[in-house]
Amino acid sequence: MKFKPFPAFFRYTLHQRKSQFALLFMVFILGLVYLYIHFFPPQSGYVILPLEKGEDVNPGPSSLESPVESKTSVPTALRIDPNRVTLDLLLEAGVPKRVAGTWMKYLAKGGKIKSSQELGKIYGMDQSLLDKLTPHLVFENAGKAKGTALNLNLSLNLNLSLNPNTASVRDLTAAGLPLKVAYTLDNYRKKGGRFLKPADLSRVYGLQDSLLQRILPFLVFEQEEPDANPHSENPIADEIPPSPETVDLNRSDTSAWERLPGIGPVLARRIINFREALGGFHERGQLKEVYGLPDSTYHAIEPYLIPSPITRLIRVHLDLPLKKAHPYLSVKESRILANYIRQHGPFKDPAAVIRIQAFDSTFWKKLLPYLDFSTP
Amino acid sequence: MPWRSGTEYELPWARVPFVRILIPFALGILCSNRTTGSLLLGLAVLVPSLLAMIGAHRRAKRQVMPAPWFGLASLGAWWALGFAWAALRDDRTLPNHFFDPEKQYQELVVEIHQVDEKERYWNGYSRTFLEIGDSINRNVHGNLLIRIPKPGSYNPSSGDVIQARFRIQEPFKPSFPFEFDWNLFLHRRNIHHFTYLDTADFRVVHHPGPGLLESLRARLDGYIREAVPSDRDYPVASAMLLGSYKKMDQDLFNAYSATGAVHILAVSGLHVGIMAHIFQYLFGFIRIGKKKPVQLQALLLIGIIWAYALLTGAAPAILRAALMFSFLTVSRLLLRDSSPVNILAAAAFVLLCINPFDIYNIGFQLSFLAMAGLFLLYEPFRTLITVENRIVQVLVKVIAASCAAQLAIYPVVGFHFHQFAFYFWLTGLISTPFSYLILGGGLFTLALWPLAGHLVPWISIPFRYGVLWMNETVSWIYTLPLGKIQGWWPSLADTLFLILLSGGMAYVHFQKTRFSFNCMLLCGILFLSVLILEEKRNQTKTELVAGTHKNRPWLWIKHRENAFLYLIQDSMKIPRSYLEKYKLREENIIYFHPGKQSLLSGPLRLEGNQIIFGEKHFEIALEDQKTKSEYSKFQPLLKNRPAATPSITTQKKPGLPDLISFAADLKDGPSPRPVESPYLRIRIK
Repeated sequence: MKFKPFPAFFRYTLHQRKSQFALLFMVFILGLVYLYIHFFPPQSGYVILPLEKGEDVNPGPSSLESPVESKTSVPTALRIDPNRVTLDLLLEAGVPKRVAGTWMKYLAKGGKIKSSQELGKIYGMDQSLLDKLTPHLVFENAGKAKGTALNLNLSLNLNLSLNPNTASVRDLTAAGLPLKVAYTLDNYRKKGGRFLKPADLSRVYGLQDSLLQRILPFLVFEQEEPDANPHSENPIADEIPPSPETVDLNRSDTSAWERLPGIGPVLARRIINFREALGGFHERGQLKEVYGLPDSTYHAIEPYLIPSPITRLIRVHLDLPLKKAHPYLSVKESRILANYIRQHGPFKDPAAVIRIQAFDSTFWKKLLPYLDFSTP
Repeated sequence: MPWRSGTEYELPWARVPFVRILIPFALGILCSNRTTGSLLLGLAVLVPSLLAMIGAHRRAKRQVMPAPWFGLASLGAWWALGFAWAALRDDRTLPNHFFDPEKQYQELVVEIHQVDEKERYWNGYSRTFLEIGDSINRNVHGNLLIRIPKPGSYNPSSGDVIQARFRIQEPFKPSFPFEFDWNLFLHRRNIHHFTYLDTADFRVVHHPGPGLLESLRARLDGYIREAVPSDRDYPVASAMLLGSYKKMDQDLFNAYSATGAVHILAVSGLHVGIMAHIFQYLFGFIRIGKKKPVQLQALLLIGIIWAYALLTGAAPAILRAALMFSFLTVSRLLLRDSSPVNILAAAAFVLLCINPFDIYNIGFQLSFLAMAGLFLLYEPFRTLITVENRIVQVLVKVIAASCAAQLAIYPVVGFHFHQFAFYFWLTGLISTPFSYLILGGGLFTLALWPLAGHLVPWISIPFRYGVLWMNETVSWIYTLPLGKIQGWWPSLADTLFLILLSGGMAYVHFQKTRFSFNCMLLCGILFLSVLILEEKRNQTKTELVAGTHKNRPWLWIKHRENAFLYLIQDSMKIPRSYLEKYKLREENIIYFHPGKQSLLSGPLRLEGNQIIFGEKHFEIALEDQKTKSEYSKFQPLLKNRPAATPSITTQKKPGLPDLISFAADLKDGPSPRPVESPYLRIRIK
């Protein structure tokens, strides 16, 4: 018996050999195409300006009050249609050569300028030059601007002032923000975002730099409060409004908790559930009782915790016996307390409860902050 | 088995030319280490191979069966081409890669081409094309994975072009021997860097609206949602019809996974086959005059299948099916008798030419192996039982097909997912008729939707109930005993051996020679012996592994059947599957927390070439080269402990056993270990 599987693997007929060469050639062409695309990529056509660094975003109202004198002046009679202008006309208008060149390239790639504010897109166009050119600009379809363009009411309402942390959607749109951007800003605030400086506004999706520049003079930012000591003896007096970096023990929601190191959605939910069951945390140390919260994590988040008053107390003379157990007071224990009150009369002061021998000092130490002894 | 004897039997390689190309090409891709050196080496082998091919071709002239020189040269050429192609397609090979290790931050413009939503973030798979410099911008290239936090003011979508300052990092390597290797996973997708998006410092340069396909998909998805209102059934319906993955009921997903039916949820060859069958039947009614326009029907079918492939996301499995279908249809039109194995190999070859890294894609592997199994192993199974009854014949055929596919894919499924679905044959029986009902009913519903108006709930009955009944049936199968066999961890060698074994079965079946059977048997025994000896050696060796996991140091000692895992500090979750793989017992997992009672059996220290762990003394196996090199890094860690306070505790407590200091060294001390091995592994005698 002859058995030759392997030699057959290497044997090719004439037709098969030619097919091999054809296939190799096609793969070779594919490789060349890949290299061509790599070394000669198609131009994107996007106008891309360098990102402004955070501290440079807001030139400040002062720059508008005292504009820098431009070195060029535009001839009074000149009318410029920004979408049909020629290079010569731009140079005649006093636009620097480089900026004029960029402007021409932008138009050549299909860019459209629908308002004077959009001229700010041109790389190299500074505010002073824009101010010089604006009176001479003529737009062909000035009346057909789309809804997303900046609301020109802004220029009429010079007394407008907006706090981006508190302004309503209506105020924001009245100031000229598109409705969609106003809602985005509002959603950002609802999730705990705050704007402490103008650069923070760039986080809002849809709020372009040009738009930001326009409304910036009308924005008012809160003065940052001096850092309160989170370990203060009297946390109520030194109450600090929660910021993304700190968490109010009794008011913050799960998203605020999740921003803390080591706290994920499960732990955040457990903390909230425990807090609701308790009626509030009266001290930070109670967090250690949350199931699954490691000691290490507690120490990591402790500096960020801001105590605040308990939200719900147990009214000793009204709510007992409890229908639903409190984490520190079971239904049975509440019946004992209720019976004691029925037998001995209402408590006159908190010290009186400690006499109840059914419970030890540890029990009272935990429970006392949650008891309200006011008589009905 | 009736053996052939006394005759010459040759495999019909002439009928499967693409198999002869695919084997060396795929091996070349797998061998490539994807560097510039690989590219040059590949080209260095390719050029002489090509010249040898040309020389052999000219010499062979018109011989009917020329000497195998051409074949050998062709083997070398295709291997070298695969080798070089993988290197060329790697991001980092060509110049102008975006990553600059000198810069801490880089301002880049990227285009996000795929968005993957997770619970707390999005993964944006993007391509870079511009780097903004201080004075000059430069064109760059390269893939970058961007992680975008949730919630945020920016929701990414495919096609977005964003500009941002990024701190580019390399994906994390596992700090645990059995941790998921994210670095390797991304590397195999040709992604070598990732970053987080700082939403305070970025700009969206371009945000295209949804494309035509995306809009159509969203609209159809809306129709499916109305037709299948049940929250449990809708994700299954959407996945089967449109390939869109919605969050499924976890129990239901586990049922599909355990019963081997999860392939139904991914649009693949089954769906293409059913679609083609349905449309072929419908197009059968088309007439031009009195004749059936066969070419027109074929072209229409190909167009519809490709449109469906693009609509459902063009995953490798469906691309494979669409390519195969196209090749098969064209070959029939041209009246060519093509081997299905050849068509399968051609489809694989085309896909690897487009993206050589698809070879690492699990969907690609499973899809092609399943088809290969069907083509090669279906006949042996089908002919095992012969019955007269036609219904039983159909059942036997369906079960044979399931067995054939499963035999080809079970090693890969075991390797990646560590499980085996015992009831695959039962699932195979129900999945095909239900798939017909669901896909047919779904097509019917979607086609008539704009016209149906109030009749929508009625026309969608087959679709809706098809999904419901399939879910219920799969859930019932899941409740059967031995539903899923878990805890199986074959190594790469085991997997390759099992695949070769399956291939060998097909080989013996087609060859039908005693010699071939003996060869396969001998190879199998030898291979198995080597595997058993290696496994035995691994089981008897003792290893000490020290590393950090999520910034918490840990120690692990595996000695024969016992494994001791010491975790420093709290809350380090060990997945159950890892306990199974390394035969860890719960009682041997010991958590140590300073301040609490020590649970350690004794301190760990190094004396000469011995590691002392409690009462156990382990001699370090320095004859093992890898151990020797690791040991040289291990020693200083134990000897040169810094006096600084270990950061895992807030203060150094006197009397701490040496274990805690050692663990602290790993975290705080100067780490001589290279980035490539974030954990140390020492073999102990």
